[in-house]
Amino acid sequence: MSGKMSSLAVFPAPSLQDTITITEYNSNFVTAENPRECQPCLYTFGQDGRFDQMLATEDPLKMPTNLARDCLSESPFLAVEESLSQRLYNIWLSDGFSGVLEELSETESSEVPVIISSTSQRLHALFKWIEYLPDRLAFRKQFKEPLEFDYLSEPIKAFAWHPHLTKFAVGFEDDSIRIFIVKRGFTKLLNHRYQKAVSCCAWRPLSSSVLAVGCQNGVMIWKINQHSSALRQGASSVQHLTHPGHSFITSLSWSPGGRLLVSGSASSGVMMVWDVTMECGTALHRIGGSISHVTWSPCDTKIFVATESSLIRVWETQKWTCEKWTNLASKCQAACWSPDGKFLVFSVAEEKSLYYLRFCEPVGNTGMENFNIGGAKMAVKCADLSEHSWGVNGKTVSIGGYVTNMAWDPTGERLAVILKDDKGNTQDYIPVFKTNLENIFDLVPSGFIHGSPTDGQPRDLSFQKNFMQGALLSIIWSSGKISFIPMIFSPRTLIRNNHSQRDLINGHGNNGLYSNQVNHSLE
Amino acid sequence: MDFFPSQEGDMLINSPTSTRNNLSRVEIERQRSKADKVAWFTHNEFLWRSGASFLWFIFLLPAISILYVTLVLFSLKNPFAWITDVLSKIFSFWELFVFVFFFGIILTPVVWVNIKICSVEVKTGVTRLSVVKSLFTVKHVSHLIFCILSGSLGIYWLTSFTYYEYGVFTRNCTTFYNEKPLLCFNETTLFLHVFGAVLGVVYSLIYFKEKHRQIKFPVVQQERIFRVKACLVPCFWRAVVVSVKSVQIGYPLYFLFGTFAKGAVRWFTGLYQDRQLSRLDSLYGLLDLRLFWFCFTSGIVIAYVWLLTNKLFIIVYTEVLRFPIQSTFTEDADQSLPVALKCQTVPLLKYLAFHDLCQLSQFSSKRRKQIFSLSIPGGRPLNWLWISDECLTLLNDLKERLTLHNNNRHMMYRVVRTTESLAKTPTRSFRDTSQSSVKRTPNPVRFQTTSEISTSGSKTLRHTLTGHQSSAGHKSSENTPIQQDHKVLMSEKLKQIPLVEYLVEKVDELETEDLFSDVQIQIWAAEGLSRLVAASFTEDVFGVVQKTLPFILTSLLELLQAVELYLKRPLDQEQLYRKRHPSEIKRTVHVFRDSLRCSIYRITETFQQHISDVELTSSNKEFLTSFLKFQE
Repeated sequence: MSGKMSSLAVFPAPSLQDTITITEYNSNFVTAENPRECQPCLYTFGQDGRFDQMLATEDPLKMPTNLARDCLSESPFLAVEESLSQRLYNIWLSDGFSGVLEELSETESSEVPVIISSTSQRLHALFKWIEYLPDRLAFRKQFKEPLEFDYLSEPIKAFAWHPHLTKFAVGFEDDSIRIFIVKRGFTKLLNHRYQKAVSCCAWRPLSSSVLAVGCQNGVMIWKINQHSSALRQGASSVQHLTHPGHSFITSLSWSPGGRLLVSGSASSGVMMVWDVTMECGTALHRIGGSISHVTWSPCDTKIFVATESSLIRVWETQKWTCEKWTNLASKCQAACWSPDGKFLVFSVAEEKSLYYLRFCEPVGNTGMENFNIGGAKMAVKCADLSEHSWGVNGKTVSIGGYVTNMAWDPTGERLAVILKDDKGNTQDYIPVFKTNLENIFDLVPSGFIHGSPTDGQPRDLSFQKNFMQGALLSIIWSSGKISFIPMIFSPRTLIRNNHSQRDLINGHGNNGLYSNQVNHSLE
Repeated sequence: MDFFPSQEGDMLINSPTSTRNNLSRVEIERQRSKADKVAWFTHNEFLWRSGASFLWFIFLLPAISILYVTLVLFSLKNPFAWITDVLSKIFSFWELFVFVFFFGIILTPVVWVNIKICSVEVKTGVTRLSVVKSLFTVKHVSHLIFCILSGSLGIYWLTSFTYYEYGVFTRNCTTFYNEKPLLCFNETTLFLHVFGAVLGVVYSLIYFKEKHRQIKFPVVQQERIFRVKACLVPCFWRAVVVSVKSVQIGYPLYFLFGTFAKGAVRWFTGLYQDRQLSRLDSLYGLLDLRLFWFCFTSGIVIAYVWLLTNKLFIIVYTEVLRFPIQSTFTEDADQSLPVALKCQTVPLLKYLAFHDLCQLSQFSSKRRKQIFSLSIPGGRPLNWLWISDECLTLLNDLKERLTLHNNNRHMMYRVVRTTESLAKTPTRSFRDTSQSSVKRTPNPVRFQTTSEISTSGSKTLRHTLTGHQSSAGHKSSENTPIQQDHKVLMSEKLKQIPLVEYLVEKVDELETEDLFSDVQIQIWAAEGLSRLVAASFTEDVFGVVQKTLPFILTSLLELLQAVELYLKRPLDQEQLYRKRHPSEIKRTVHVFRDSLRCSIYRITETFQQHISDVELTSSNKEFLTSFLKFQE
């Protein structure tokens, strides 16, 4: 099926340690020695002329000072005097019985007899205890699970490109999410008292400004008001999705249709499928330990799930059945779908290689008759990433290791991976493969990307979803910087479309729609 | 030979506006008439599905019974006796079989009634009065009666297997100093029957209040076994709630009225009062823990079986039913998707058809191809025309309903304004008194009539208003003006009474439910259409979809505008509280709005800049541009 296996030895020699990769142009990686030099390149190749200014500034993440509230200034709202009964009634309407108890236990003794307040205090405590019981049990269980706590202390904990617009969300160390729009910079700040230990975020497809954030307390759904100029989003624009035992969200993924959201958590092996607007979730139980990774395939029919054990699953989204692949060398570390949903590339923790799984046809083509997922029986090894050394200007550069992270561009032509060596250190070089999905699955070595020495190690990779001139890779560094590497090429699909434009039968070419053509011809 | 006369074929190219109306009218009529003869569904599929759910019920019943026996015989004092008791009950196979068999038979009537009155659309009307009225329909009353009978018989039957002595009607109460044999009335039996009846009433009320009769389709269509598994535990907790409520009502009821019931029974049968045992309608008598435990667990198990079978039935009924796009044989022509979409007589069939449409648009390119294909004699895209026509009719219907509602509401506010400005005269006091009766919300009905009195000139206005009120309003407007005014005044006076006002006032939530009663198929129609249109970009080789693209876009855009206008209407104080915890129907309307938005985005994302070539009105085009720029 596959061409010959790709290996690091076939790669062109990497650039020197003190150079920075700026872009890929005509299949060559352009490097520069001075970080300042890269600015013109970015300006030239950026989709909208240039990339955000904040990326170049030294400390872009500082909070604007005017956000700090002035304690001395008076509140614009006046407090309203309410009688106790009225207050209790209002609280009962909004928060229910436990709210009333809380209010009673907090009111002063002049209004309520001491007996009532003390009893309600105890009752409230009891209610709280019962309410948090499942969470507490789950928490105890959770500590047995290996959680990547080291990752949580990074300056940037989450990153997501918008699927249709040139904007992205960044989750910072202080558990706030900030929205950046290219050319406009930092536009929105999202924080909430429940939003703690943020681990991931994802934009809703087919929507302009809905963001899901996975955190310790479940999933937060932000509906960002993009028409308001206010920096901070009010608490009314957030929805909180919780399910007992489903805390410490590790991964989130939206359905391409935009209605459903799947989430995996470190505290339980349950995959939740949320109907976000209805605020209800369906728990899908299967054996296999807590879930480290979920990804919805771009073709809408499959979901990949990696667990903490040596087991991966692929669900189909019609009948919600799953196929599993066991006996991996160890747990799955990183995975991504090809844009057509026919290939799944993944890596395991204790093997220096990449594997792929082929899925015959999307479920639709075989008809709904058998609901089968059509996955290949065996995963095929497609790249060997064991160490290889190059002599560059008299120095030896050695690259290779375990894949910890990877990203595939939306056109399906570039695959970038982050490697970790035997000691557990992340490598500075990011290998990039060219991929071919036309007839056979093929990984062709392309080159290495290297960042500035001050940036630290790469942590996360992500491709912009709507970059027309090729692909734009954004790299999150351990220093808290995000760099953008444009890769300029003509995607195969575009070339093919341009070629076959004339022989299109249904007239979906660039010349307009069929109906209009007919109308014009008739006139 | 051909389906259409040739002129219509020409029209297909010339004027797209008239195409849809003229082209398939004949065919649609024919399809409708076909669709109303859907005997096959009610006979085969309905029977098959009911049978499947009943089979599940039979499978689950022994397990539930064993669980019940374990629970009811529980005793803290001697756990060993408990275990041996339970084991001996379980291993007495024949007895257990007979017990389960008759228990099933006793509970089946309620299961049957549940199946009979389940439906996909539940309408209760827009006022509280209509809700109360709906409680006294044949459906509800028969459900109530069946539940009462089944409940009291069921609990009686449960005694036969566990505590036999509770169930016997008479007891020998001969005392050693009185040689004469005496037959006494066993009061526990009466108590248990009363408790069973209360359980039936509570269940029946909860069944209607929580809309268990509404068939709701799940978003995540898992396989049956997983869905059954997922509902086992929640149903149990619901059953516990039902049982607790029955205890809450049943015990005080018997405490208060037990004497009369007992007296009546003894008067009929001439049995004696047992003096040895304490009376059950006394505090001490009711404190019998063993009896309480028996009642409580029996209540749980009966309610559990009822709730679970209802759920099972809904699970089996909401499973995907696959319709062929076109049938090769004439005898099963009425089983194809276009026919089922138009079905009016069996709403469930229509729902299943739309569900299938939504599924195929997403998952099955093979069947999509069939939709985009041309008919063999004639070469016209009949499948697509039928399907798109039905979806568009549905969406446009809702759009009209919503526009009418929005206009009406808008008018109402204008009327309020005019009355306020015009009537600083006697009507002022009239309105003041009405306002003093607590309500801040403008009562539509009231303002309609006040406006009529104060501004007699605005007849057109009144017409639009009454036209929307009800058809009954139309009839009354045909009476002589004096009579009519008299009637209006009378009804106005009646509505001044707070209770009447409370009952006849329109409830916002019920109104929403009424407007969006078929919101589920609307969602499927919008999603299905948009997915088909998006798929047509690559799959539609004959360009059949593009003909209807302007209509589809217009419908979606205008409907979205109408829904947004509806959701933006001003809310009063009470609803603001609700807004924080929106009711289910509110959420569903939001889901609908989201899926409309997604549908439009899906089309614009697929067609990108080509979409600007589609002919639309300028306002729609402007709205569509905001979608192209992702500003919605």
